[in-house]
Amino acid sequence: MLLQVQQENMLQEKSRVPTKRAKNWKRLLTPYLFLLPFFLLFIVLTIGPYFYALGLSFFRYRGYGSATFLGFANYLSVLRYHVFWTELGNTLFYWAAHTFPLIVISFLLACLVRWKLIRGTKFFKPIIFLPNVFAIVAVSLVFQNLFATQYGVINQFFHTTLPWLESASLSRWVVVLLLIWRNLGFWFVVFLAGLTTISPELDEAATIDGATVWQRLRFVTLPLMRPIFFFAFIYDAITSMRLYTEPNVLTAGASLAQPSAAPVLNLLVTNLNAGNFGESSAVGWLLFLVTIGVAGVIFGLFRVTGEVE
Amino acid sequence: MVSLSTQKQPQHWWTVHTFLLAGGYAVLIVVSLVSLYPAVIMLLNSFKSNSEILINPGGLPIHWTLANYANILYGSQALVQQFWNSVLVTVVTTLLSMLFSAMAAFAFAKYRFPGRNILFLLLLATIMVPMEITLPPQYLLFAQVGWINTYQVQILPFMVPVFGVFLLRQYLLSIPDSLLEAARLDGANEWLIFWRIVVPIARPALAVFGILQTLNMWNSYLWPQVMANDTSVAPLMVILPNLRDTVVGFLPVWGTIMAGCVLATLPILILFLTNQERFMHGVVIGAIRE
Amino acid sequence: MPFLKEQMSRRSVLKLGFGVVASATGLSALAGCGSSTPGSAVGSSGPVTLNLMTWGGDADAKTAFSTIKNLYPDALKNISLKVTVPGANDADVAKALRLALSARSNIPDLIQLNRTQLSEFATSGALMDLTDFINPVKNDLFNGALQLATYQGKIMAIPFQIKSKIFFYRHDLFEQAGISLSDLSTTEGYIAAGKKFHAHFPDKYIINLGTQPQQYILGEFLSAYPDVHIYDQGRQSFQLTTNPAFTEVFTFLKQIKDAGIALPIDDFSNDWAQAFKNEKIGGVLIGNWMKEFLPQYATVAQTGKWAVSLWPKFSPSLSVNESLGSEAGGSIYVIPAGAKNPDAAKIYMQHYLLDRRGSVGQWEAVGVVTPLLKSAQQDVMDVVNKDVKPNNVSTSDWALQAQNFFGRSYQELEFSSFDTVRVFDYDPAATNEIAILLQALENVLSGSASVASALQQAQNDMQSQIGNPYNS
Repeated sequence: MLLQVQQENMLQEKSRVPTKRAKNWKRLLTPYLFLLPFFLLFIVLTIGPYFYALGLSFFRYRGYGSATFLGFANYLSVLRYHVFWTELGNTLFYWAAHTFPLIVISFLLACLVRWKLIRGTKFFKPIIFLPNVFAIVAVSLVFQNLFATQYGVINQFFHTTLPWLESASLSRWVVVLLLIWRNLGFWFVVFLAGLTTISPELDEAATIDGATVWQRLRFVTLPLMRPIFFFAFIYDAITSMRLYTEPNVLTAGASLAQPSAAPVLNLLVTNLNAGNFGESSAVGWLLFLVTIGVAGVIFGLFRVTGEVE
Repeated sequence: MVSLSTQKQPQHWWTVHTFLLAGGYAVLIVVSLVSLYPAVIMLLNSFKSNSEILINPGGLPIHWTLANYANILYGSQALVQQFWNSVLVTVVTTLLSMLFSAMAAFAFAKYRFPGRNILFLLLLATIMVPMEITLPPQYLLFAQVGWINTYQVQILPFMVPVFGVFLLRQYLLSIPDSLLEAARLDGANEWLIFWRIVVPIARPALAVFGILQTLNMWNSYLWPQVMANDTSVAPLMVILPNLRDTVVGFLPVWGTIMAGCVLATLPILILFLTNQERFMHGVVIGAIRE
Repeated sequence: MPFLKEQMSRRSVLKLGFGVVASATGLSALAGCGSSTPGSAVGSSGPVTLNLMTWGGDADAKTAFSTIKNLYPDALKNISLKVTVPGANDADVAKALRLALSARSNIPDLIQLNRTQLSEFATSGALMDLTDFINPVKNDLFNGALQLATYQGKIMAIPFQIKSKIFFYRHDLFEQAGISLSDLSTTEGYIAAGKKFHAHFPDKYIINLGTQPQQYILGEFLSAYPDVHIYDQGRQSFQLTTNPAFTEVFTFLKQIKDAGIALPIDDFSNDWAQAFKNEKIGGVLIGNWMKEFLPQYATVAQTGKWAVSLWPKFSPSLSVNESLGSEAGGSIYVIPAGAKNPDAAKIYMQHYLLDRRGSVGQWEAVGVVTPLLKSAQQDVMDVVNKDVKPNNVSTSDWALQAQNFFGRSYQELEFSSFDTVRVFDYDPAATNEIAILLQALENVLSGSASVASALQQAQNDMQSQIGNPYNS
């Protein structure tokens, strides 16, 4: 009996050895197989194009025919083009003008809602979040209707005839307003979630120690929320550099926005539509440099004002 | 919260506290109204005729009309084709990207293999790089295979969302290895382990990813505008703004446009209203996990 | 470009695959019977589908084709037409053509372009040389038409629609205000007349000019100057600040704006059409294609009130005769070098635009494009003089036809305007240059820049953005 079992075991051992090798081989290959679909597409559609765009930016290529090597000429021509600087200025303006009010207001709102005496959080939360759910294009169109000079609600309500969307300077502020309005709910919910992670005992302890609301905010809440603020500013900055939909839909008709209100991506798109693939790629890589720069500024600010996590 | 400070206050029913409380509620109500008002206007204006909007842009419709909806559903500004284009692209991209991201996340989370860190760093490195850099080369690539103005060109570039891999990997890390080992000992092959065990467990994270990806795809505007703006394949978001150039009898068709906006908003709105908590929770998780 | 090569080899594999399938189909068709292989028969009896690309809409192109096919059923026996419309304007067609050339597939046989776009494609070798094709009818074409078709001495296109400059004006209002056409022949005279007009009719203006004019205004004014180029190849530099033409044109427009004689709205703005209906505009300095829009905007109520003439000369302040020139030149048809059915394309064009009967026939059917053959002129005038409404045109549409709205003399004037056409010498970067120049004009008209500084800025922009437009 025992011998039989031993024999069976030996058989199993023998059969396991080649299977083990096969299994090892398979196990080695498996993770790569799981990665394959994603990375194949990732290489072809993301990494590859990054380098292709970099290469393209040194050529003049119309999409057909031959490509002429230009060296840095495309970059120089973009950097010397005043429209590039106008649109870059617009992008930075949109970012700077909306980020600070947006994050501050949504944070304060979150604090307000967290105040225990306020009831009805479950009611207010989805309503404040709602603008974020609406399609960007749809709300841009609604805002265009609201701020129309002749027949817009805003002008009618305040009995003014301000050319909100027809004046270059005013239309930029409407874009900022739209950005704040739409993203308030998003950050409100994020900060709210962040605030709930702060243990209420810390707050209570501070209150018992005699801290005012303001002091509690400044010395307890804010430092604990620091990572979330950091993330908020970085994330908002990176996505703001890629702004495209809101200014174009809000300030223009079926065509693209005028340079006075357009973001940098407009230059990339107009070059692409005109067949200037080299310049279009150059604009893209310049935008990358700008993004790095902006992120660096935020990193620096946070390091200067304390520890960065 | 019985604050010690109330003991110092005089015995009035109104206190600074009450004023602050009222103020707090007032702020919340104002914010809620401001958040809702444009949406309400959008809805109301969709029931007004194009000419009425010019004289009555902000109030209730004087004459309620369904003409705008008739227009976008089967009239001269019909948007039905584009609506279904959006739906198709959104659904296919979300499902496929969910699958591919989950597979990749699984590999990163549950396997050790040479190159794992390098590949992961590769993903990480692309966060700061704006995706729009790939627009010119992708246009050329898709042009070469004749896929401009198709559905493929709207789906493929978005099948590899890096945030998806991060999100899912984070979640999958929390699955105990012993569970997988037990399945292996039972003779299950790796794919079965993934499909039958990991995926069901990862459902909450997948739901979050699904919601975020759906939002992204539904809103996509730049990409299809450049690569697929032919009306037969273009999504709703690209064609809707073009209605502004339409004039009927020298009048712009704002009523119809508002109806189109309602159409554009409805699906996500329904998704949101039926899944409120998960939606908001998911958006937060998705954001913070980045 | 490593990726381009990779893609190309993949495409060659695809092509091979298709080649095998196609030849198999062809062989089986020969071996078997019945089903004819579509497409590539050149000059043989196989049916051919012409692929025509245009912008805006396909109705006119289709109507024209069926008209020609009815006129010449034998010649066009095996040809049918497929029209592709990639978008609402010429930029969309250019983008689609670039796409087709890049993919080397779906290259249309006939493409309608604006004359401004000819340079880009002609210099890149993408177009077929049509000199031999056009030569037989060269002498019958109006001078302006021939200019349309020619680029750097070679005929690279088939002229389609000449855009000559025509001045439309309310002769009844002019009479009431005591203004005659000869008053307008100098700049000072034009401005004085404008003030007189506005004084007589406080709500009307002699012209409209906002701060964002359409780009054709540049072509219209600049094309009157002989031998003006935006980029001088000899000196290898842009000429905006050195050639006085640009300064003169910009100054002239600024003067009109500052004199207060212009209604401050722009062409094709939302209010423009209404302004005609409400009789706010007394005159338009524009192209002949306005004959299509003006009657619709002004409505039947203003029949007979509008007259036409060539543009006033505006000299001596504009140092050239502004009754000459054209807008963008006009639009043309080109045949790409890689077209699948070039012979069929030529056959169609021959009977459509280069044939007396064909061109008159399409004009009668579609009404938009006036024939460009001198031999057809009398035929057209005969039709106009006969004044018989065709059956397939409604009464309201008939009333808005040019000869009925403006009077029979319109057509004669349009023909004589064809001889005044001077096509501006656009270089390959024309689209970019015009966009930059237009921006400069907008700055001048809105008052945010002086003429000199705007032109300098535009020159700098062109220098940095374009470099040498002939470097392709």
